Amino acid sequence: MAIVKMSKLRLLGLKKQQNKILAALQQTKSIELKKTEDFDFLASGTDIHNDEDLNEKLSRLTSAIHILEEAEKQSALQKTEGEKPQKVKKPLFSVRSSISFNQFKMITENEYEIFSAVSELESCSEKLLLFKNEISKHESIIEQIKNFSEIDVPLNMFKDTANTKIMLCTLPAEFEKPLTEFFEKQQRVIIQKYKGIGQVVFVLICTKEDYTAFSEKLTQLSFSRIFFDYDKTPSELINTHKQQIEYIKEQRAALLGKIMRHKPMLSDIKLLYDYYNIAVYTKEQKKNFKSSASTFILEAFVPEESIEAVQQTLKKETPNILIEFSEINEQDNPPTYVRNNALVKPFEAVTDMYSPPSHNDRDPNLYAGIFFFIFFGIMLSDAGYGLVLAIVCFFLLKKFSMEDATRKVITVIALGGISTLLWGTVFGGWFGIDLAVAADNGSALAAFLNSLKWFNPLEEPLLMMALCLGLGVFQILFGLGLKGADLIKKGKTLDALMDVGSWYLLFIGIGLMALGSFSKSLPEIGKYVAISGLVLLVLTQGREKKGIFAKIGKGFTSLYGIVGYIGDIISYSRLFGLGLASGVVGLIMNTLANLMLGTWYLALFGVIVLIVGHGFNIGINVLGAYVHNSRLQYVEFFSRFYTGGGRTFVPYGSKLKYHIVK
Amino acid sequence: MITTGTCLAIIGMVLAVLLSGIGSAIGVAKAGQAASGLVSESPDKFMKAFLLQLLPGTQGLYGLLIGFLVLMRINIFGDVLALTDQSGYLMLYGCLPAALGGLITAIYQSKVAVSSIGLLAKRPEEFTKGMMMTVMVETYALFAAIMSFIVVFMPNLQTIS
Repeated sequence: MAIVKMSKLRLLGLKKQQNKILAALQQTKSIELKKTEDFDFLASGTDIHNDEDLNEKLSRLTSAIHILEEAEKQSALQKTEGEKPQKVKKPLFSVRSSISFNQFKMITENEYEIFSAVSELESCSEKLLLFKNEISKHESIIEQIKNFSEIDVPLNMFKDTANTKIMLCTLPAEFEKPLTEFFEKQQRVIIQKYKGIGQVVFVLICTKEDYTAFSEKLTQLSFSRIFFDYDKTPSELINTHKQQIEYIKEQRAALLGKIMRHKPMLSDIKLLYDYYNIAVYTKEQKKNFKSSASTFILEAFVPEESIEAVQQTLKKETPNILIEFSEINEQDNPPTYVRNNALVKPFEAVTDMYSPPSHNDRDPNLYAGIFFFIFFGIMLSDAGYGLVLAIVCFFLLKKFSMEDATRKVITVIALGGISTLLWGTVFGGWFGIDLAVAADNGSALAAFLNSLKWFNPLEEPLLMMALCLGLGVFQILFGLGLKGADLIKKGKTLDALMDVGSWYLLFIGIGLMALGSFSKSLPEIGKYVAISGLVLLVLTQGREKKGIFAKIGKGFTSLYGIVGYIGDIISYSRLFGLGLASGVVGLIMNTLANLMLGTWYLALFGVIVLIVGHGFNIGINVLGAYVHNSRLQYVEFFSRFYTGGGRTFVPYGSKLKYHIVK
Repeated sequence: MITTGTCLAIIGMVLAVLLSGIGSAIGVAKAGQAASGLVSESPDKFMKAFLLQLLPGTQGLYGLLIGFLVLMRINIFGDVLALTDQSGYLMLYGCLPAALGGLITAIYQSKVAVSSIGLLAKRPEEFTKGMMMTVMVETYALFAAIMSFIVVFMPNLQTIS
């Protein structure tokens, strides 16, 4: 397990072979381009071929992909006559398709076909939009006329003549009664009411002289006169528009079918997109090259172990090239390439969430992984849950393909399940069932499992607390030890003794003092060890300051760090707290279910409570265990020796959205 | 047998668990709001923001432990002790530091957590410093928890025989 040593590659080549060389470098999957240093007398690299429409191509490809995916969804929703709608199957974990490098390079040969398909898709999409607008136009007219559907004359007939007013009006529904009452008393007026939606629709026919008398009342009742130009009756109109809508929908279905015929192109479109994505990135990176009239220089980071392979590939590509490998120096900011064995690798997910290691750091993954594994089990604390978790997660890993990052997290949880199984056996927790009671009732399995138990945390909380805090002290001292080892590696042995050694003396001294029950002499020794630790701290922690008083003063204030350590140690009591929480909730679920299973009519609910309750308990506590465990690693462990701040090594050509190049 | 003393101890447990729980809930909620805002702009910072959100949650944990300790001392899983009034008051007062201390420090710790999430937004590389600043407030919750622990755990309780 290690951080792989990086070195620098510097390459001088002919400009006309630039693209070939870059393609070869991409194929090695082992270089990350960087800015070329020195050579200030040369200009920065620019591209001979000005592909300014690269970005335009990318956006056209993106929208084509989107059009196809939308159309797939739409046509899945549609039901064609007699056919069942086809469900679009989405994989459980999204994963990129893998292709060979040749396939990747060759996709530009199909560029013409791909872009003609893209153009067709674009015009189809425009037409779809037109259809959509047409349909909504028709629908809004239908909405307008719906109110008047009971009228059986053409709507443009409501026009005044020389002496009469023929009016089509509406009125808010609540004024219907006042309207009726008013016009009942009137003479020489025809009023015909129709049912509207939230409104009263009525036709008013009266003489123009009478109207002046009516108009005030009508305005009071907030009437409004409606004018229409249509020369058909409402029902005819509604029918016509509905027919139009149906017709457009048919055309739309046909158009969707036409779009879907391009579906086989989708993977090629995605590949071309990935290709151009890299092309855009390369164009950006070329600004970091240096160039002369016909040559160019580039620099890249290469892992030391890949130097041979890179050299071979480049030499195969062209003999007209000058390659030079050199050591990383202080100014470089190399990316970090971490390599670990299969057991430790998943825990990189935990560390990377905090920060990947920087190139000069020690790789913390092994230690963080071991502690994470141990603590997870204590936090989840039920062997039954651990068993279920491990089985489910390993099944997921086996059956489904998934991205690297997801795989790491699920493996961590699966391993956590194993840890939970171990600790749960030791604590005697199996799905919250009380083993002693079950063993008394004659279950042989329970008796066996009971014999594996060490102690029950609920019955002996002090022992549990001591265990948790003890583990905490161990991790803190381990972290300090790593810091000391790092200092010694850098040659600062004296610093290691003063900074780490003095704290060790203090801790060990206190530890010995606490062992008074084992031997009379140990506390005495412990006292002296602790005091020597304290004295050493006071004397050395201020050594950076000037003047004897400042030195001693700073030394005393450094003792405040003891409070920090106490806080960190007590923080480990969350191991106990979380384990308690999951155990107690499991107990509650069992008690509830027991109550229900006792009666015949609630028995089914009892089973549901068991499954849902324990499932919920597992879910919430796995989340809690993962997060709190991570927090312990970051805050209490990493703070002792780890700075992080690195960035992961991303090989040139690997950042593809839809594919992985083999 | 359950006496007034026992009930007083239970009140103490209730306060310890509830008040520190409320404090943590408020604290984690406030930090969660800030974290959601950050993640809406930069989804890649989710885990770090989530971690900062969790930091004010410790007080609830301490309160739970003190409450649990009280229950252990009055032997809740077996024959509940019949505490004298004075012993009951002792348990009650012992829980107060964790209860009130947890409540108030959690709320203040969340203020620092929210600011740290803002720090994470502007300078993601200084995330650790924000975390350290937030953890500083926890020191006082810790002091409160320690004092509660000593008062709840150390003295011998008297029962009514």
